[in-house]
Amino acid sequence: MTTRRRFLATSLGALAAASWPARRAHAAADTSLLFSLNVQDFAWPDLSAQLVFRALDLHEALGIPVDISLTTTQSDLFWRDFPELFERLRVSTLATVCYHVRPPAPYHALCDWLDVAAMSAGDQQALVRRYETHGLDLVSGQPSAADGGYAALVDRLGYAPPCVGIACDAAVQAAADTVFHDLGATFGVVHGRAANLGERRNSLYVRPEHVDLKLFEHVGADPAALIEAAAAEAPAVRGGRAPFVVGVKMHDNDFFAQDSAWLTVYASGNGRRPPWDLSRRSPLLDAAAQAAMWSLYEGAVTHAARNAARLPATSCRTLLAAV
Amino acid sequence: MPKVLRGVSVAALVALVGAGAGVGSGDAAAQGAPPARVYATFVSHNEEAISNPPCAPVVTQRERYLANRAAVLDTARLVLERGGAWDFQSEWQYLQAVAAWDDAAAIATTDGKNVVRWLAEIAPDRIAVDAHSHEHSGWNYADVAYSLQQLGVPPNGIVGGFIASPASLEVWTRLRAPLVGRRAPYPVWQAQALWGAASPGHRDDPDATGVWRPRDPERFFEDDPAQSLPHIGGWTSDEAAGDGLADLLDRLRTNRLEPGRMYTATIMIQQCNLDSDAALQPAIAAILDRFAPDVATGDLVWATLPTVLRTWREEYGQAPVVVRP
Repeated sequence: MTTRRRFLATSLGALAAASWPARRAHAAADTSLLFSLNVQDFAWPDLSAQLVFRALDLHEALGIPVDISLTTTQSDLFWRDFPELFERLRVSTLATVCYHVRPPAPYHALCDWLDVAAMSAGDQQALVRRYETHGLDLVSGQPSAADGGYAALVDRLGYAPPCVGIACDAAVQAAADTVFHDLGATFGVVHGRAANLGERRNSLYVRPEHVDLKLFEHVGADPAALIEAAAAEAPAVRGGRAPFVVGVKMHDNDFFAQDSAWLTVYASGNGRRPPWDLSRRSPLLDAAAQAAMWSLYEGAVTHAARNAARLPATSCRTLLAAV
Repeated sequence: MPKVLRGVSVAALVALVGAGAGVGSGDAAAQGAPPARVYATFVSHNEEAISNPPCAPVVTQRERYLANRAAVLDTARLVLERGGAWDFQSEWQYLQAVAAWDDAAAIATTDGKNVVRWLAEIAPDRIAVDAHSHEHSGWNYADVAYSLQQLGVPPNGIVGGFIASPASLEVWTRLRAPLVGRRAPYPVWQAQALWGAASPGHRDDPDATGVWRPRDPERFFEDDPAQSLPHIGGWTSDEAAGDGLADLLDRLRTNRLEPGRMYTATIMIQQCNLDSDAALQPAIAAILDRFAPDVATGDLVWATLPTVLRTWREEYGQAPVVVRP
């Protein structure tokens, strides 16, 4: 008998495989992989765009979903300078465009240069809303006059990016979550604890994650072994509840630069207040290091594809349908 | 337990006993309450494109939308011809497609009405159009109901799916009060009945048959007469199959269900498959044919969720039933 549970898990559920019938087999899996690529390197936009193209090629060739999480700046850059890439992201059924906040947005936990934490909740919400409906001036840290932020990304995509990474100071988190929920976001990214499907942080659901596999920290390791170890660990995480999710995380800059642009400009001895010096750029990785990082990632995605029936890959759009 | 009464018209029984007979009684049949019956309906969903890529073209591509529209009409006629019932439950994005693509040529096939209005008006006891919302992407039930209203479908108050389990994650208790939309013009909507209690990922759905007023999140299966928001159980809610319904009817016939009460079941169909799965409409027809004998005996009544709600209130005196599979 096919029950509603199976019906909905099938119709809304796991998107690991390229073919629809194959997805049915994945609906009941207890542990899934969630590949996320955080795209944020405004210092090397050409390399960032090339990396996203390459990652899309890989994921689409192997039928493995991936969440591509853009910052407001990268959204603007791709929209303006790489329209072909933006369109490919927009229409992809395997890539889900998500969103994350980085400095100099003053409500980022590491960059409260406006003392947002001391503001009233109403003022905090107004401030976050102003930023998330406008572009971001990377020098002054102020919202620009142009449309931008999460709201512009919604307009450009035709859908609301379901997952948002908004790491705020505890005193600001509720206001930020409220604004993103109002603008259409569903999940907030949470690391460092069992984040179970259906649980909430303020008005957002938490994006399920039980193990945060920072793949970029393991260059030279066997990606299959890393994934299998993480998948074995996930059900045992304290406070965890099925379905279990292993986040497999990368950043665009991991593939080509020694450090991220935002760390280089906003954290590494460059002062915590505006104006910021955008001439500072992280050195690039040498060719061997770049190849090693890509090899690690390619191995991880390939392992996921080969084991999709046992260990399916999920995505934020799949999770969207599950709550 | 006495054998339940069957084959007696509800109208006749209502005339005999009046509203409220048998409420809360374990011996309702002896008091002349309506006979125990199973009330069933097909329920279909469409979803946001982002969350259901295989079905996305139905709401993102005009040509596919129109093909699916034609299949929806065929299905409606099939259900009506065979005496069935169908709750067509819609998310926001399909309604935007209706507004955009039900042009003069399209509505010429539906008496000059858009498809959801045509569905809602063609046979209200047999086909209902309800709101379905995951309450994502800046939309909630009030917004979806408002969109339906803008398309000419008055709100019927049915909540077409929601999270109830585990209790800590429930979203339904807030629907007891008027709900304000998340989008302009921020409409206010009042739920009349819940249907489709679910769990995240549908891993532990609180399935049951019957209609009752859930007491609170932790005691979802307890009836609380003080509550005003009833839940209509979908039983096993099979997908395009009738095994769960057959099991429920077997329990009825073998006196394993309390007499004088109202039992409920729903059968899911996926709207986007109506034009892409050649087996789906024949499967619906086969289900209706399979249960025609049960309709003839009076054990089974095909009825939409609003009709179920009205029947529960007016004919069964709001007698609560909760039976889990």
